[in-house]
Amino acid sequence: MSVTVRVPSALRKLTHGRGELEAEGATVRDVLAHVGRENPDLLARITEEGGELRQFLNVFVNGTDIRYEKELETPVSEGDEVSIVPSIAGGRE
Amino acid sequence: MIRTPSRVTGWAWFEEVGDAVVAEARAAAAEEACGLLVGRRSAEGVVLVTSIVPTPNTEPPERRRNRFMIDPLRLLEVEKSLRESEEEVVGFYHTHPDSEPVPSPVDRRFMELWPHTVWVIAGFTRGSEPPRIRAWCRDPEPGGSVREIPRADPPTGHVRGARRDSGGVTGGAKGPGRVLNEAEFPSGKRKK
Ligand SMILES: [Zn+2]
Repeated sequence: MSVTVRVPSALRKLTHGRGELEAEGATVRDVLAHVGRENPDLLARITEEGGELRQFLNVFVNGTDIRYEKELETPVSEGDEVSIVPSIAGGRE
Repeated sequence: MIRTPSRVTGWAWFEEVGDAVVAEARAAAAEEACGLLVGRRSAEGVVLVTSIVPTPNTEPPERRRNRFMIDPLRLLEVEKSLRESEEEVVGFYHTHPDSEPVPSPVDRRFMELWPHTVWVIAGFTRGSEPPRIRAWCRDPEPGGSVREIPRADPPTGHVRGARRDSGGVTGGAKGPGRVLNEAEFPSGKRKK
């Protein structure tokens, strides 16, 4: 399956300036691995060494948070849009 | 064309953008207000904020006095609406209802996830009115620290009015803003 991966402009330094990447895969895990091959700096930011998603990192498939689906095993279909967005938060303990 | 972000060397916003942030801060009163900063980057790394998108603080009510969170889907929507434009989400703002506009340890943890991004904080220190405003950025290199970004003056002669479309964008009167000449951002830099 060919999908589009979007990253916020703030992270484009990690993707050679691109906000939109094409990737192949049957699940989100595949897609991130595919993207990571050409963009290792991006991959390091979004996944732990074991390949799991980092804390405070959100991934959406067509606007649905993969936490409400099957996490990294969430299936993707041709033409889906996978978006990567770190959490935006703060405050005092 | 959106520039690939590089080291942020300064920031500026149009007066009405600052006014809008202060109004949001006052309206939220004892709770933290938050939102997106929309704008452009100059070749020299100066970030010019041309409008804001106030966003709900998605923390539960009992936590909003000292915590904030922005719905990431809101960011996606706004970035989508900006796709064909010269602008991008260049940062975030939030308020400190009763403390200095200095990033807390929790703020810093999240800043680490957002390199090249300007974090504007409006702080009501001991009830100061108007709130004090300072901007911060965390450099992306490993072990990079959080540093304050010097404020510059916005380019002169801009057409009043920031923009725009997608509901909830404030920051000025209606009408398209002039396309800025990037080269002019740094010229108005304020000397400290
Ligand atoms: Zn804060």
